[in-house]
Amino acid sequence: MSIKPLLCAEVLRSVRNRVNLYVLAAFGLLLILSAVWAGLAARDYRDQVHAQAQHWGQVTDAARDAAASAANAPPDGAKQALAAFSLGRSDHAIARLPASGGLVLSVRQFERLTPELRVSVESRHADARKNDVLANPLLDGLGVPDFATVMALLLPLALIGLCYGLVQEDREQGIWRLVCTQCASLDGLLGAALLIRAGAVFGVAALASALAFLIDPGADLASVATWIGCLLAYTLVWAAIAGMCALPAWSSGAAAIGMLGIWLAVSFVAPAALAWVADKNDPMPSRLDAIVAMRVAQQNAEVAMDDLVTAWYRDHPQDRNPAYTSHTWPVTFVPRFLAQDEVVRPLMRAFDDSRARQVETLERWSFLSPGLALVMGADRLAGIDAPRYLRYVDAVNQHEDAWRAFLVPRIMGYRGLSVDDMARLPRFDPASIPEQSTLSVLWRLTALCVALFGIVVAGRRGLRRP
Amino acid sequence: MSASMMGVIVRKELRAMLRDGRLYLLGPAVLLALCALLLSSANIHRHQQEERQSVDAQTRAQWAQQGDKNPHRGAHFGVYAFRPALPLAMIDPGLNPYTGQAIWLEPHRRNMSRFSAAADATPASRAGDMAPAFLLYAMLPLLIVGLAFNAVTQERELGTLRMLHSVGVSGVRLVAGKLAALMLALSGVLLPSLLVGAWALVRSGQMDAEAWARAGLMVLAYALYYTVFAAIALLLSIRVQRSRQALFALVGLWVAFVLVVPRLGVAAADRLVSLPTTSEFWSEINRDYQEGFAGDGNLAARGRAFDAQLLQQYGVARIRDLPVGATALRRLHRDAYADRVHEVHFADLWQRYDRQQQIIAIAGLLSPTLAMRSLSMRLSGTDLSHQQDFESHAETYRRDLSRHIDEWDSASTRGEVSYDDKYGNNALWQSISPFAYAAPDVGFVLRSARLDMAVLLLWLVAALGLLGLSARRLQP
Repeated sequence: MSIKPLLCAEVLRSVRNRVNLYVLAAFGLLLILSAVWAGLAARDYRDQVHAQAQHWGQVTDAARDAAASAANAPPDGAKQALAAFSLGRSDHAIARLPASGGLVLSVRQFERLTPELRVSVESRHADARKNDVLANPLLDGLGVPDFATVMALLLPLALIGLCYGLVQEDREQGIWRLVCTQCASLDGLLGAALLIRAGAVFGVAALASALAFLIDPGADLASVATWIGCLLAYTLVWAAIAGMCALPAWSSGAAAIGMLGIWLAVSFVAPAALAWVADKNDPMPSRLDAIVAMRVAQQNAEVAMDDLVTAWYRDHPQDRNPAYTSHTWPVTFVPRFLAQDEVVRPLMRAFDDSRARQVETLERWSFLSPGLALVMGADRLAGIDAPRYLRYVDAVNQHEDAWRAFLVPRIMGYRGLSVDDMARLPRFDPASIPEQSTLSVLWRLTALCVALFGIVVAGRRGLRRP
Repeated sequence: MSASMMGVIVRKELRAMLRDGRLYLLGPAVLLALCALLLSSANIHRHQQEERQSVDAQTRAQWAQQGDKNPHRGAHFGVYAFRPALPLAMIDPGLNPYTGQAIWLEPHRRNMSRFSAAADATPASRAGDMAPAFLLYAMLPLLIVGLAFNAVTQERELGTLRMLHSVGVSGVRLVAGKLAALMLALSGVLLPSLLVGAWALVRSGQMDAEAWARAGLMVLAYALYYTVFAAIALLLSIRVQRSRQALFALVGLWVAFVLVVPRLGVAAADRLVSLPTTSEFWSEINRDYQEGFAGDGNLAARGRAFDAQLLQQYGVARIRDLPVGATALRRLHRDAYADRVHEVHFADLWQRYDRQQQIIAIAGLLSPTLAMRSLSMRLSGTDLSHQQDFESHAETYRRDLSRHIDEWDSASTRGEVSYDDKYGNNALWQSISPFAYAAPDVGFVLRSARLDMAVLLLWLVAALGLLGLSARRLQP
């Protein structure tokens, strides 16, 4: 039997049910609102990054001009050291995590996870003003309306709404007995019904996604294609779940409650359970304990400050300026900051490392929660997934080492920065962050989709029950 | 007669719910999940309290045992202020994961609360934080939907509504009986978890009259909230013809109340009231400190004026001849100005937070869940107003600490001194009393929650009013 008449019949059946149209309209409206909000937020973010890059250019120009005018003035080592120190801890030395083409999918999440770190000759970890993000905790607590999260939560509900009583209502009304006797391919019928509904939901979701990507000027085709692929797989996963719930001889209400139960379980319970397992496997260190450890490092470095200065000059005899035999701030502080950071930096990295490992565990088990898989896919496309963030932190640490290697001798040697030095200031290269494939979630969702449809096919005998 | 009729209806409804099997299936599932979450949350709360107390003691010891240092350097070592969690935070952690766990208090600058647990969270928490409150405000309404969606439609579908009508049972009495039965069934599910919750609260060792008052108000608020949902569920069951439509509409409303409206409120607040970026915020504070507010002069000019005033006050010609520590006095003067600058900018920031909160409260008119959630956080002491209260106390303490050390410094030295002179010692550090913070009383909560309570009561009156009207017109 050809599938075409079945598809036509199902299209008519779907369209003539006004509730289906209401469900699709509500779903579309919410997604469009979310897409516009996310698109505008992504656009604002990219504009802000652009403005900041220009500002950094102005700051370095001003510092270069100051260095040029200082070159004409009589040399004052203390002032030059202070100028170099000030630049070294300047708030404008930003190492930014570049947003990827899928930023629009998780834009607020991207901003919340500190995508810009300021490298410094001081410890960047001690000063909250360097890197912490300013955000209203209430908005975070109520749920960030990121496009991917909204999609992951609402798409299944729309499909559940459209698939309500797909077979069961016909059974309850006694029509299914007739269908069984007249239709040669019951599984084809169910397949057509699911396909039409999934197609409608996917179409709305894809259009809203396209709108979001269109508003974001930084979106790229690869991200759009991968996201649309993930979205298709996600829709089919839920179509398969709806198909599974259509097979048993339940009442339509029971099937709907069953689908809602599955949605609740995989959207809320499974992620919480997976987070618990991930935390058991790779426990997150305590931030409060880290405060104590930071203070120990701070105190030890302060007590040993004079020894650290002596040791630094002993290790760098070429940078000792014989004109200065006794030292004061900032020169006395720099070796102390370096010693302190040797302890604090690994302490802070441990948090990102633990989070990255937890996310890897979540990804391995994400087939238990398709919504979580979709959100993690979106994070990858936005460029804010925890493993990439860890690679970014490592790249920033390397950049900070280079920054310090360049500036510290000029501070400690009372040389300051020449005009040439200003041109050679280390710059953070975003290409130093190793990139990984963003396709893993797509393959996972596809595999889950195939497995679930396999179950539907295996249980299709259930359709024969009148 | 009417009372006995009501009793008959309530008994019949309860029996029907038990026979139907949904209560047997959903009730224990919810009860089990709630008890498990309560116990787990109580455990986490206890662990966090112990850790906080231990770290507080350690950081205090670090402060008190700094040894000999320049007093200003000692002050810069600073202290940490940790916000103690109220016992109800185990039920509703609210904004605690997002507000940071500690504030570093040091001279010259007011820091933000840092080290939020949310910064270390994985995407698994994106859909919601699994806490007892999440179950109470988000999932329990689904239980009500599951139990009540066909309360009237089924009677209509089976023809029993016509029979009841013909024997003279009024619609109002029938619906009131159904509402009472629904609330009784819900109480049956929640009562054991209420006992488990009370036991966990008592076990925390933090319960006093204030905490019990907060807990009592929370129980009352949730009772009103569930009544709103029960009334809405019955209302829709009366208004639509078929159980399917009722279920659709109720699930749709639940999605709107729990998932959509809060996020729309957040999106609206986010776009309508912008916050400065971190760098903008701190740069503006630095600019105002350096350049001064209108008419105050810049930092150098203010410093010169202060020096002149000092010289005049003590009748000396040079700063180095002052009989008091000029370095510390200058710092006191500069810090007083810095405090003023910080005050202005932090007040502006909190005003922006407040305006965002008001937009979300207005969105609460579209969702009782939003109002309940806000009320629950306020009663648990995990909302923005409690955080603001804590931060302002910490700020007062920071200023006092800084002033105390500088005053001691100026009294202990003369003229200008070097930062490398180590004349502060443990006796000085220990003379600063530890930071102590007590959460505000219930009156504070009631005052700050007026809008949320009004919105919830509005929902209650509207839902019960519409239910009463619909019940009066109930036709088979």
